[in-house]
Amino acid sequence: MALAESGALHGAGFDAFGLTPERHVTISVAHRRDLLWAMEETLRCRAVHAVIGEIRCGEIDSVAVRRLSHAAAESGALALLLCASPSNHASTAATRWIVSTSPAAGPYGPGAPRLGAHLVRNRRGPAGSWILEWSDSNGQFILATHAQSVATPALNQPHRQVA
Amino acid sequence: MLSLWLRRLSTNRIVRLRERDAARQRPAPLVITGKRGNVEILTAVDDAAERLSLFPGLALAQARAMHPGIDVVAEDTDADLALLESIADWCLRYTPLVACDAPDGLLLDISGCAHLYGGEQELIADLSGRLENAGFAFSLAIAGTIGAAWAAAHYGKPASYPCGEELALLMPLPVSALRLPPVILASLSRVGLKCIGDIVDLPRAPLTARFGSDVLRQLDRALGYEHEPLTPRLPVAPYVAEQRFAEPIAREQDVLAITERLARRLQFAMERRGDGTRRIELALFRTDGVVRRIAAGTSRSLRNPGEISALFVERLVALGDALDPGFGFDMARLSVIVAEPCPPEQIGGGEDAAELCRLVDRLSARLGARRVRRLVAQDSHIPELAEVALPAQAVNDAAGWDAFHRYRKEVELSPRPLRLLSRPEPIEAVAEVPDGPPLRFRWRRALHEVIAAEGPERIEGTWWSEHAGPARDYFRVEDKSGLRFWLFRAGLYRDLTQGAAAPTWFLHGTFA
Repeated sequence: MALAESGALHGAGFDAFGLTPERHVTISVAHRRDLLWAMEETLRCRAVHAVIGEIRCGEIDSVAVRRLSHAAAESGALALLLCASPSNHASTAATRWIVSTSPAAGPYGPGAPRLGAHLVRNRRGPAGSWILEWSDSNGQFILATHAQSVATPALNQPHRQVA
Repeated sequence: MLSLWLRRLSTNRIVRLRERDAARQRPAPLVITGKRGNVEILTAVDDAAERLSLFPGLALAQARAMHPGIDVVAEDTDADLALLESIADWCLRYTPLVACDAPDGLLLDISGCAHLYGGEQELIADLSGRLENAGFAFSLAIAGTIGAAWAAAHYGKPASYPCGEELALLMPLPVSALRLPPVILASLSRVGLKCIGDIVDLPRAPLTARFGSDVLRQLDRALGYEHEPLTPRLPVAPYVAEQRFAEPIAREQDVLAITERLARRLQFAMERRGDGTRRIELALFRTDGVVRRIAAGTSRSLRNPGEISALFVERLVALGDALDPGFGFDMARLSVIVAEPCPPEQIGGGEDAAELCRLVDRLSARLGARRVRRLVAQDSHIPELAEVALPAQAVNDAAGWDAFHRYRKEVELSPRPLRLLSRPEPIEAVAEVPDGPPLRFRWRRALHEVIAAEGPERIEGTWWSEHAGPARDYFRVEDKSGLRFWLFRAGLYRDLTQGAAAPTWFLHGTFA
């Protein structure tokens, strides 16, 4: 459910993150209500582990989000809604993240991908900020060293919101 | 074989259009005209115009001189054909084998279908009644062969002729009833061969030598000595179930209920031969003659009636008001268009896969099959050609990705971007000449300062293709804020001396 504007998903690219492109199904929709419907429908399927939806901006129907939360809780699957330019409206989602890129360049070119993850809302616990770095050997994101301050780069680039 | 000839198709079409507008009050003799060569001639006339002894083929100027009051409409062959095709669709209620006999006829293979209406006479009565109500002038005939039925409909007495009486039927008819090209007809009439009876008993060899083999082939086909294939307009479905209603139905629940009932009937038929459906179509015949056809695809062979009707739930939601039942549907037909062997299902194993297939089907039915896609690896080094997104219903396996994984390990492929622009976007870049990475660049009006770069990775164009682009040098760069891009320079500076265009920079993708 990706926005075409910022490029289509590239299988060879997410192969590097340990994700298998052959097990992904992409859906493109014309309307936001179709997107929310498709996400909910997908969450009700037991064979699905994660659903990621991407929208540009604007308010999201809070009822629809609550329905998504319920569906996700029932199925145990992960549901993410990416928002390219987030609004400040309250969301009914369980957590809300602001994820940005974080400089990772070493002396010999770009290093491993780094993300600044800023948890701004959490229903079940405290908020916080972390810098994550992709580790090829572990095949997962690990906590980066706190050589740089956590908050500044993360807040300068409110790049994506995860609801 | 039933041949239906809509004698006044074009004029009937105009009259029907006008009835809808209800604009004209005084019906004037109507003629349709078209240009043949440099002359505007009449291509069709209605009954009133025919009584004024106007006929197709007459020049328009002449017709106007004879009767200044005639109503002249320009021909529209596309609209005529569209109307004929919609009548052909409507005729599917009588038989699945309907062929268009352009420009103004239909051929229906009704063998084995007439008894559903209680006999050929009853079928003719039903068909005639409905066509008359719709305001069409027609003549139809039933005979053992296509040729004989056609001849009887166009030149003979409209009736049902039993098999084996083709000869008696054809004898008195003119030779033009054999569907021959005008050139042959002209040469036949020049030697005085006017009726089919005149040529039946002639020696065959001289006839063929003089007029070509067409004459006798058409005669043999009409008499049933030679087989004439019928090309149905729509592929004949391997499994069909249909239901007529005494009272038209209009509500969506009723449509879905009838779909499930029909699907159950199909299930028995398909189980017997171990088949399932990959594509299924529901045809709803509206009382006023419009046929709604709704198709749904599946990603695996399917025959469970519950799952089939669930697909149509989504299709009907997606259609919304476009279904438009009008005064209701008086017949429904569910036909399996594509059938595939469907192995008996094992309980327990492969639950997840089946579940996923069901999900893909539901999403495809609602949103359209082209919106639900899977990535398929392709055999190419050019990044934008290395993979394509195909409808998830069509591809159901990890096509090509195994090879890609192996290849990636083998050559230790440098990182690929997470998102790839479908078309590389030109950027303004400042870079070291000749081979250095960019120092800063402007993409979508934003300036990015490069602080780290990796590369180049050269990907050559396809030299064997005419449309091959120049070689590309790809760089992975990171800007000040940590955004990572995949850029390339198309072309090499050393080629400048050979007259090549100056290298340009493009942005092709973004990393996580």
